[in-house]
Amino acid sequence: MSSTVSMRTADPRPASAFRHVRRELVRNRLAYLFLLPALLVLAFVNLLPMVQGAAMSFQIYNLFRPGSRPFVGLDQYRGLVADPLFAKAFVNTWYYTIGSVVCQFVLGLTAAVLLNQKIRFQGIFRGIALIPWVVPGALAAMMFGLLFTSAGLVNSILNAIGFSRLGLIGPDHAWLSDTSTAMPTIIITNMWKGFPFFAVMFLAAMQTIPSDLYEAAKIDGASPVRSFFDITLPSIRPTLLITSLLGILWTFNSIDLIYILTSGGPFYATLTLPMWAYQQAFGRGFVGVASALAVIILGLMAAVALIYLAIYQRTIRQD
Amino acid sequence: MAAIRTQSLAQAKPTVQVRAPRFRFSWQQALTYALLALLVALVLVPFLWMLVGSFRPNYEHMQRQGSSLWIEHPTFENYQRLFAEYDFARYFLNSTFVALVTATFATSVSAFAGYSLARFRFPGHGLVGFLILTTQMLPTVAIIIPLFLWFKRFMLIDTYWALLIAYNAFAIPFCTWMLRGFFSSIPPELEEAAQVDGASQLGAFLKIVLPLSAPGLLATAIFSFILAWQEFLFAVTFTSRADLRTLTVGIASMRGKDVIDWGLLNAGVVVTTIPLAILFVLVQRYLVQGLTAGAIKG
Repeated sequence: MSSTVSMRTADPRPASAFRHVRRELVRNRLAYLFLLPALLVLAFVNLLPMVQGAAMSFQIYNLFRPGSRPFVGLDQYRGLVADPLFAKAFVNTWYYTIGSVVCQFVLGLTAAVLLNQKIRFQGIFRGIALIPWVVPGALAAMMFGLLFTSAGLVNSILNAIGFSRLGLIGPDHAWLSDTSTAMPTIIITNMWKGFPFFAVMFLAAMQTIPSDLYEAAKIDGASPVRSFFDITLPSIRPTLLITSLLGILWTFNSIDLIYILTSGGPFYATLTLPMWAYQQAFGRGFVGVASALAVIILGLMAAVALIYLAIYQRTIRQD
Repeated sequence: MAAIRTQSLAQAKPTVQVRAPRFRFSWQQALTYALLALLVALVLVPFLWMLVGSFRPNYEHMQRQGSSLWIEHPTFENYQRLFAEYDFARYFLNSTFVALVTATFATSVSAFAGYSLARFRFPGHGLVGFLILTTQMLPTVAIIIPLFLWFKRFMLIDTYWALLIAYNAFAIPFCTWMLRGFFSSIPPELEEAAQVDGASQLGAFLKIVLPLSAPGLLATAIFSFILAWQEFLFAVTFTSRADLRTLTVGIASMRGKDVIDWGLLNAGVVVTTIPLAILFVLVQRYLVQGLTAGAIKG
């Protein structure tokens, strides 16, 4: 009792802003308490490493030679941008990202349309189409690495249908060892692995479209193709946008397929910025340089996300 | 012909409901099934090829170079070699353990955080939501370098802790977002009624909301389980001891330096896929529900 009294008498003295903050904290204590564990994990394992990484990008920091870590300002950024490999990896990163996401998008949309039809064994078809999503990327990479070796199934199928007689590729073409076919092979692997996510999201969005829209269109004499472009696509546009944004961010970031299939080779033909940063850090021990690359990657991803979210906001407003 | 007649009928009298006969042939249906067959082939043929190859002796792989779907002398020797040379049971246990702990911990932490974001309006609400979304786009490679340095300093390299910490950090933001969607879809009147009856807010959450969102919690747990089970880069960076390998690192460690050991690799892929396929059949329904419900409401 006496403590309440003394608190009450002490209260008027501190600034009212402080009192306001404390009152809000007490009033919302359950909300903050519930958030606390998640926020701690977020702060210590996501944000703090990010900040530390940014700090290291201004230092020369060698993993294998601990000791002095001189501050060099923006030197490592300048060195990176001047490196001809940077331009190469930059172009490769977009080639890999856009190529993968476009393929996943098209195949995912096709699969969603097919699985949304009134078909028999619908559940089984949906289940099968989803399998690649739960297959680990490392496993998919091992499988496709074998499929696309010179003695792999892809070559025997192409030879059987007479494709190799066109003279574009040899009958025992080693897809991953050729600078011009290595990246397409990785993109195909990524398409296989990633299209189910797109299909699931699109399918779920399609199922929220009221069916009388289609019936009305049919009565007006619209073909299925017409109603796809005039009803389906506009109705699921927000999902199309958000799913491809997620796809771009994930693909841009992902290293495991490239790590296993080519490790950036042959002759840097599949070297992306994240793969390069990883090699700089863990292959050569250049933690500072790798951190500078990571900051550049983060900047690029933030730019993509901002552009996308701006488009998304406009789409939402139009509806 | 019949299809055309039904169509013109429907056009003439739109009020009459005309249902297409179930087994009548139509080009649209034929095309749908043909494309579906292609899709199924695209997904399954790589597995089938691995399955066949896993029963083919290696000398036959050399002759035919693994390119056909026929085996002259089927054998189990690849599987015997696989379990003799690689500790696949151990890899499997490692993956399962790490994924189970991640699923349990990440779902519990995310349930509280998701509920807080779904139900309470407090100063900083928007900021927390924004932070959770931004962690989704932090480059893996930007996190993995500082984490590696920390883990090295605290002697956590080559322990399960390194993997558990990293996986939880990656699972929690997405799980929080998913569960926020679920909790928002539960009408708040139920908790309000419980509170009128004398339950505390915490009690209402534990006794009313959590049981009601069991499907959502399950979906979130499955999602984080798969996330951890699939992970490769953290696992290969933070562990070097063979007895700590997860399945993904184990299978990747089978890549030969010069010669491809076809039989072994095929058997490895099959052994890794089978438990996954069983798990998938069991949980597929919840997974799809959870993934789409959380994301679309978010």
